[in-house]
Amino acid sequence: MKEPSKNEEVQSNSSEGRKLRVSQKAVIFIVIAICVAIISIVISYAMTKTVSSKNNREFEKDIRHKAGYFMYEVNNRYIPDGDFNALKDVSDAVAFSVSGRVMLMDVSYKVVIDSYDKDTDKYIIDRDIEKVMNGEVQEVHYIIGDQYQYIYPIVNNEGYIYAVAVIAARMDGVNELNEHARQRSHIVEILFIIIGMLLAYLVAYLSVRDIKRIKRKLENMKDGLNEQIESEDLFTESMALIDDINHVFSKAQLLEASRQEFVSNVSHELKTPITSMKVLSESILMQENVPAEMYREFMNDIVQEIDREAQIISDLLTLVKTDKGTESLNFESVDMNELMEVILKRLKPLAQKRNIVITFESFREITADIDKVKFTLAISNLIENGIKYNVDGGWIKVSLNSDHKNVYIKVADSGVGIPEDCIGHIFERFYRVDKARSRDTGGTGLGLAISRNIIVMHKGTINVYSEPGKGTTFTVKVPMNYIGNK
Amino acid sequence: MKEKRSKTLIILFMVLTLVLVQGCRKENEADNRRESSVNEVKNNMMTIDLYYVDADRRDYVIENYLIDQMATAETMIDGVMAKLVETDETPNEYDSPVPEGMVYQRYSYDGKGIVTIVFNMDYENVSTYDITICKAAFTNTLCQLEFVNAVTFEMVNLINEEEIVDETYNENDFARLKNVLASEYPTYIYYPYGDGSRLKAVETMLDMSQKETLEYQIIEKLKNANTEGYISPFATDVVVNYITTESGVCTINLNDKFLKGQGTLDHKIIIYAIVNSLLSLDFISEVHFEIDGADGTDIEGEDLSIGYKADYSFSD
Repeated sequence: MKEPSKNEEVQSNSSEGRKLRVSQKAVIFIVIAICVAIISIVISYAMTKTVSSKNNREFEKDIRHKAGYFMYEVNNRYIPDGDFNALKDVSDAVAFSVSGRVMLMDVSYKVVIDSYDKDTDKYIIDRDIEKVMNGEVQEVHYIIGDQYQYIYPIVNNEGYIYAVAVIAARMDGVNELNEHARQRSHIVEILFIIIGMLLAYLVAYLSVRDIKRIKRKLENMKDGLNEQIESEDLFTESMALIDDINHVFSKAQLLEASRQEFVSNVSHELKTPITSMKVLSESILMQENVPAEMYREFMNDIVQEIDREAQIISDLLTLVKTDKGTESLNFESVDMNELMEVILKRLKPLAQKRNIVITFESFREITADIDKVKFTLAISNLIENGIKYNVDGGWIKVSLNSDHKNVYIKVADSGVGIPEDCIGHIFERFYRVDKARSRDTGGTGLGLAISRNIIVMHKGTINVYSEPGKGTTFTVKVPMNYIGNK
Repeated sequence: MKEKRSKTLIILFMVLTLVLVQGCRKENEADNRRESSVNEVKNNMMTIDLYYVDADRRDYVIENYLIDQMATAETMIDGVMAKLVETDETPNEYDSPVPEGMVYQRYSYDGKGIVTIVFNMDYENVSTYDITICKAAFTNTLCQLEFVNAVTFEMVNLINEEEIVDETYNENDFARLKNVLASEYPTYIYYPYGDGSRLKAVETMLDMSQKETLEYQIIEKLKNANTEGYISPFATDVVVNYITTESGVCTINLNDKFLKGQGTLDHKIIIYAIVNSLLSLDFISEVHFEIDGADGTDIEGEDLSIGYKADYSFSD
């Protein structure tokens, strides 16, 4: 693999350096803090508004009440076509009670009463007073700065407007109340924000606590994948994550063990023929004046060992390819009956050497989508095993059947059978029930593993039933039409 | 990209701020324009305010008008009257203060400060407010001219020409409902000070919102002169029974302890401390003293029965 050049490394590092690293803790803290701050501000504003509105309403109510009293007094004391002077003490009292000013204008807009005595006998030019005087509006009230002004008509019993009163009041008191409320709500708001920030920090801390703990546990793992991470001090969600990680570790451990075992087995299997060849070669070299016949015999043995080594290597290659699934299947529509006939025709001579009878039973015409070459290898291995591990004069029955979905192939033999404790291992690589017999018959221990892989690649299944001394039956089921990516 | 976006945002914010500030400033300028302007005198030309009425005739609209100070009184009044009465040239935003139902006839100037304006009145078709604002507009406008002290309105009833109403006003006869709660009343209190032979005029703010009348507040301040570092013209046992003002004459009724004077203070200092202070109120033109409700009592030879006017010869 080409080493990255210096320039590439520098570019890579600087692009990584420009990337903004965002802390989850910081993000959670900021988001929660902002939310709490916004909520606090909104609540504080709403509270202040509510209290201020209430205070203002109370204030207004009080003014109106006093205005009503003033109108009552005016109506009771005013002498028509007389003067309003008799009301001066009432106006002064009302003005004093509101810390403001009371003015009364007659129909000519002349100020007849002024608690300040500032504009008495002057004519007032004001649009609001005119609107109230002519009945266009019932009343006018507004707030200018810290002053409240209320302009309303004085109406006699006949409903005739004969004067307009103005009550102007200072809102210092109510403004002070509102200011106090505002300050108090600000204090509450600040408290909420502080508490919110603490809460935000706590939540952020708790949310990343488990990540830090897991990180520490991973850093402290000395024995690599062979350890399991402890999860007692974590939250439930993290515990579930740790369980999954530990499961992955376990699988990795199994795979590693399997890999080591495979390497060990491969080494051993490959070494065995070489050892035999060495022994044979050394034997012949050590002897002098070895007759030609003996040389021929020893060379035959060496050739056999070489063939055996070659077979092991070939089987290994096939197995590895089928293991990884890297070998692609070449699906084609195959007449299964014809395929079985071909296989049996090739293997019958082998069976006949030991007087083993092979029968084939087919129940119907079957066409299936299979990889012809590989499937042939898989079934051949089963039948070859049936021949290898059979008794002389025994039998092998091969049957072919199908339903609307699957093809069923059964290979039953009258062989030596497989002990019950070995049945679970027969599809493992290099596994042989009887190593001596396998060697005699040229077996590598990979045949059933290869057959299983091929059948699994076809999305099928293979099952085995066996009784020692009575025989073994392999049942293969594959879909008639391949399911999966072709 | 981020940097570009930040710069764009900053520029937008600055532009918005500028626009807002300009808007406020313009609003303030508009407010200032509506208030009465300072009469500027430049190159013999004086700026005065012409008081028009707005479109619904409920408020003033003030427009500036340049007037030649070197012109004669009649010329100046002619110009002002022509501007106020003429309606054809006024824009839609404001109008002549003369309402429908009132017809301007003529004016006259008596050379002594009174301008008389004659209107024909159709009282049935003109409202009281229209009449009032019309009078206010003409009075406020004309009284800016230094030779005009007051304006008389002669209203001739259109239906019954015998019915004529004469009313005279000056600018102090009209008021606006602005700064209603402005209660400070600036005045001067004349305190005896030093060796008690002179009076010192001290500017003071009285509070019109107080229950006590302005007159009473003045008397209280004189009584508490010691706290201000001055000498009180009242002995401690002097009691003010009452103080009233009617038609510009202020009557102060004291108990007989007042006749004993106050320490070494000259009686004239005592009298004029009170009189000058009370006469600084613009609605008081004369002060009368009463002792326990009665007139004509002497204080060290000073006749208290007379009506006192201000004498500032004792003041610094």
